Amino acid sequence: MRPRTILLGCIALVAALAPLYLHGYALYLATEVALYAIAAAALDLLVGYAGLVSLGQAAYFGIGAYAAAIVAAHFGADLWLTLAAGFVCAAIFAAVTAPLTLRSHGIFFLMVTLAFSQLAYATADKWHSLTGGSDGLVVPKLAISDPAFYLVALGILAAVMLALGLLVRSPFGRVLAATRQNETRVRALGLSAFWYKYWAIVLVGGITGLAGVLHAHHRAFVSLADLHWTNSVTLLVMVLLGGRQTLWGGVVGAAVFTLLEAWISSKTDQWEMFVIGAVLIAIVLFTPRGLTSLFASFRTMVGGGGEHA
Amino acid sequence: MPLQLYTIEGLNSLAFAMLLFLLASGFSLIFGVGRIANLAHGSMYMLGGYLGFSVAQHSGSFWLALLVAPVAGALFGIVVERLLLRRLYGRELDQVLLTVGLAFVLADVTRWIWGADIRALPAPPALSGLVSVLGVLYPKYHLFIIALGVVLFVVVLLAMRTPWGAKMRAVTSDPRIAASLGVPTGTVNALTFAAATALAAFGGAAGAPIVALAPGLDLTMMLLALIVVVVGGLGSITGAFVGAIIVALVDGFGRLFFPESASFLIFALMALVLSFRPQGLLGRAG
Amino acid sequence: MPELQVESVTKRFGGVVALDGVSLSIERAERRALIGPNGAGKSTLFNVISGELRPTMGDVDLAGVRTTGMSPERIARLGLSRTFQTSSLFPEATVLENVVLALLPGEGHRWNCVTPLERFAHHEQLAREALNAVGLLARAGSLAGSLSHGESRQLELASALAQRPHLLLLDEPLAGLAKSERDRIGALLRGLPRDLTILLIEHDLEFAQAFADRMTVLHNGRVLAEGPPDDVRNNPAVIEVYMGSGAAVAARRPERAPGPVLLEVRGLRAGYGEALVLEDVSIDVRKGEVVAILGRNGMGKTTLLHALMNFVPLSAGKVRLDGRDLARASTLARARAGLALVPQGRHMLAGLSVAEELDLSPRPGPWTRERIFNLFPRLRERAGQSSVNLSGGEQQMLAIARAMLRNPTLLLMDEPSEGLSPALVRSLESTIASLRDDGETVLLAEQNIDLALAVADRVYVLEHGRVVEHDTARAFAAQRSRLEKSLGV
Repeated sequence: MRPRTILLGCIALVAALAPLYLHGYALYLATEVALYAIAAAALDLLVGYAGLVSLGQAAYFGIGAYAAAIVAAHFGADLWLTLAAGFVCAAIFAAVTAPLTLRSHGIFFLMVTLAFSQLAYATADKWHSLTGGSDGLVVPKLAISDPAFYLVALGILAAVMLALGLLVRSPFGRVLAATRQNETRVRALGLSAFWYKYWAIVLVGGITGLAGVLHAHHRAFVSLADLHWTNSVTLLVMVLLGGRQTLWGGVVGAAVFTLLEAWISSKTDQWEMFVIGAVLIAIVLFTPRGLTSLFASFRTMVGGGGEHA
Repeated sequence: MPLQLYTIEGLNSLAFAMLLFLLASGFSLIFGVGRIANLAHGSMYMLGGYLGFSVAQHSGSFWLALLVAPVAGALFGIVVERLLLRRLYGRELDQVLLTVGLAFVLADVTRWIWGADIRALPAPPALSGLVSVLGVLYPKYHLFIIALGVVLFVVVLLAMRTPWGAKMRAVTSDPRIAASLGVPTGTVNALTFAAATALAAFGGAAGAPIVALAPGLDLTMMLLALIVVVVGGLGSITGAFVGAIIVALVDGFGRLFFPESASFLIFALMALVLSFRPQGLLGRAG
Repeated sequence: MPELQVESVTKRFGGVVALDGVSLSIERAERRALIGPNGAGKSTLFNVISGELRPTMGDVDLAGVRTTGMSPERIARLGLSRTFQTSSLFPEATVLENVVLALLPGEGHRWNCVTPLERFAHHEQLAREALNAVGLLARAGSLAGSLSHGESRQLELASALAQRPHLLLLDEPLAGLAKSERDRIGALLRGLPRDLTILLIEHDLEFAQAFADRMTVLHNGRVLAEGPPDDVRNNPAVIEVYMGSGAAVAARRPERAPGPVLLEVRGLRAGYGEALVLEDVSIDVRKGEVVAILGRNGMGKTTLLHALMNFVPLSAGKVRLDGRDLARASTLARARAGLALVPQGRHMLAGLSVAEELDLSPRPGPWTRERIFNLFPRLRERAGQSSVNLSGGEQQMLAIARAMLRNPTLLLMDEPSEGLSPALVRSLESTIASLRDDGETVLLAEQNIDLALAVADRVYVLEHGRVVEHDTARAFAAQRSRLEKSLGV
C-alpha cells in the first residue's frame, strides 16, 4: 500500500472516530469543516481542473439552504428529502445560468457569476413570502443527534470526494482539464468544450447545494447571509489556501480556514472579513499554489513521495 | 403629483449617477491601461468618504475635506500599485484576487477606525437648503453634485486629450508598441492608478452628504460601478458616464415603480448585458 | 467527389480583405501544398476550413458535406484533423494521454465519468501504435510540456494520425525547428499514409515541392497559381512574387565611406518558447548605412527585429548599440538607447489621432514635426483623423514618421512593403532612400527583393535562423542567381 493511501486512511479513521473524543463546540466545528469541505472540493473541480474561477458559489449554497428550510417546513424535517431538494434546486439554477455565464471568459466570467449570485440574493430579499426576507427562516430540527449529524456530513464528504476523485481521472475529467490548458485544441479534436464545462458547473452547483442543506440543518436557521457573496470569496479562499487541482486542497483549506476563523472570533467578534482578506492576499503573494504544495515540497525534501503532484 | 415625484426621482438619480461615474470611470481606466480589475475600488470610495468626514469634522471645513480626500486617495493608490500589484505583473487573476482581499481588509479596518454607526456629513452652509427648480423644491447640494459631475466628466475627457492622456490611451491600445516608442508604461500605470483612486476617493467625500457612510458601502458601490462599466463598456469614459446615468435611472425609478424588485432589475441588467454583449453597450472588447 | 472543396471563399475582417474569392479543390489521397508570402491568407484559409472562422462569403465542403458555419468540433468529427502553427498540446498531460484524448471522439467513451482513463486498453493500444509510428513511444510517460519543439511536432502528428482522419491540415509543421529536427520531422511527414489527403502550409519551399503532388500559391488573398510543383516554380507571376521583377535597379546614389559600427550582433539565439527561430546570427550595421535582411518567411527576419527590440528575449548572444550592451535591457530602455521600430503590420494605436501618435514621445533632434510633415504631406492633411482609419499606405507613413520623431540612432523596419500596392512600394522606396541621404541608419527586414536591393548598401540573407549570404547590394543586384537558392521558389 502506498504511503499516501495509508496517510489518507489514517486521517479518514481519525475523522470518523471524532464523535468519540469531540463534543460540544469542537464537534460543531468539525461538522462545519466537513460541510465547507464539500463545497470547497466541488469548487476545486471548477477552479483547479476546469479553470473556471467563479464568484457565484454563494447562490448554490444559499439556494440549497433555503430549499432545505422550505421543504422541511412543508414536508417535515427529513434529511434525505432536504438533501435531494437542495441538490436539485441548486443544480437547476446552475443549469439555467451556465449557458449565459459560459459566454464570458476570465474576469468577465467572474463578474457574470457574481451578477447572477447577486440576482439570487436580491430575489430572496424581496420574496418575503417564500424566504422570509431579511428575517430568514427557522429550520425545523432534525431528529438525529449531533454526532450522528456529523457522521452524515462526513459520509457525504467521503462520497463526494470519491465521486469527484473518479471523475477527475475519467475521460470526462481529463477532457475538462484539457479544456483549461488548450480549449482550441479540445475543439479541434472534435470534443465540445462547452458541454464539458456545462455539466461540470451543474454538478458543482448541486454538490454545493448539498453543503448548503447541511449548513441549514446545522444552524437550524437560514438567512440572506447564506446567499451573500462573501461566502463565494470564502470558498474560493479555502480552495486557494489548500491548493487547487488537488481536491484534498479544498478539505485542507476548509479545515485551516474554519479553525482560523473560529480562533479569531473567540478573541473578537469583529474581524472576520479582515482575516479572509489577509489570508487571500497572503496566498496570492506568497503561496499561490496553496498549502498542499508546501506539503508536497516538504515530503520531497524529507525523501517521501515519488509521484507526480 | 406624480410629475413632481418623477422630477425629484430623476434629479436624485442624476446626482447618484455622477457619483457612480466618478467610481466607474476610474475603474474603467485602471482596467484599460493596466488590465487590472480593481475590485477594491469601492473601498477607495468609502475610505475617501470617511476620511472626508473626519477632516470636515476636525477642521470644520467641508472644502478642505474635498481637497484632502483625493490627495490621500492618490497616495494610497500609488502605494498599492507599486507595492502589491506590480509584483503580480502578468498574473491577471491573481491581481483581481489581491484586490478582493484588499477590499475585505479595508472593510474591517474602516469599521475599526470609524465604527459601525452610520455617519452623515452635512452639506456645507453655502450649499445647504432648498432651491426651486423644474417646479419642485430641491436640495442645493444635489444640484451641486450634478453640476460637479458634468464638469468632471468634461475635465476627464479633456484630460484624456492631453499628452499624458494620449500616453494612457497608447498603453491601453498596445503596451508593447507604446514602450518601443518610448512611452514609460510603468509610470503611466502608476499615474493612472493614482488618478483613478483619487477620483473614487473624491467621489466618496463629495458624495457623503448624499450617500451616508456605513459598513457595506464599499461593496454596494463596487457592485454598482461594475454594472456601470459592464453596461457602458470597459475602457470608455463616455460609456462610464452614460452607463452611470442608465444604471442610476433604472435603480431609482425601479425602486419607485417596483419597490419589491429594485436590485433584481439592476443585476438582471448586468447579467444580461454580460451574457449577450460583453463589451458593453458602448465599449470596445476589454 | 473531391475530399475538400472550397468555393469562392471571401473573408473580411472589418475593412481588411484576408481572402478574396478563393476556390480550391483537393481530391482524395492528394497531397497539396499551400504557399505564398506573408499575409497572403494561408492561415486564414485553414481557419475557415477547420471552422475556427466563418467565411464572409462562399462555402466549404468536406467529402460532399457542406461544413460552412459548423463548429470546429463538428467538423473535426466529420474527419478533419489539423495541427497548429504554434505547437498545440495539453502541456500538463502525459504524451500518451495527449494521444488518448484525441481518440475519444472516434473510439468512444468521451462521456465516461467514472473509469480512469488509463483503463481504456483499446485506446491506449492505438495511442501507443501512433506514438511508435512517429518515434515518440519512449517518451510516452513524460509530460507534454517537457518536450522539445521537434518532439511536440511529433506528438501533434501522432495525435492527428490516431484520429484516422480523412483530411489532414498541417500548418507550418517545420517552423521553428533546428536542421536535424527538420530532417526528422520531414521524413515523418513524407512517410505519412499515402491514402491520406493532406493540405500543407509550409515556408520551407524545398520540402513543400518534394512533398506535394500539387501546389497552390496564394497572394494577397487570391489564388495566384496552381499546379504540379514544377509548373508552379516556373510560373513567371510566382517567380516575381518571390524574386521580384529583376528589373534594373534605379541609378543608385553615390556610395559613402561607411561610418563606425553602430550595431553589433553576435551569436544571437532567440525563439518563442521551445521553438528556436534564430540559431546563430551575427550582423553589423554601420552608421549611415541601410542594411537589408532578406529571407523567406519563418526564416527569422521579424524575430531578429523583435529580439533587438526585446519583444522576444534572447536565449544567447550579444547586442551592442553604440558600444552599449543591450542584451538584457527592457523595450523601454532600448527605445531610450536609440532604437526605434516600424513594426510589421504597422500596429496603429487605436484611439489616437495621427497628431497624437506623432506627439506621443518625440525626442529632440534634427527630425521635427514640421520636417515630418514636409516629408509626408498627407499626414499633415490627416493630422486630426483617427490613426486606425488611415489607408494602408498612410499608416505606413505614420509608422515611419512616429519612429523618426524619436530621432533614433538606428531605425528598424519590419517588412514595410507588406500589403502595399506597387505604387506605394515605389513611394516607400524613395522615402527610405531619402532617409539614407539624410544620414540615417536603417536595418530593414524585407521580403520584397527589388525594394531591398534598391535602397540597401549591404544585404544579409537569413535561412533557418542563420546568415547564409552576405554582400553589398550592388553585388547581389548584379548576380541575382545567388539569391535564388535561399529566396526563390
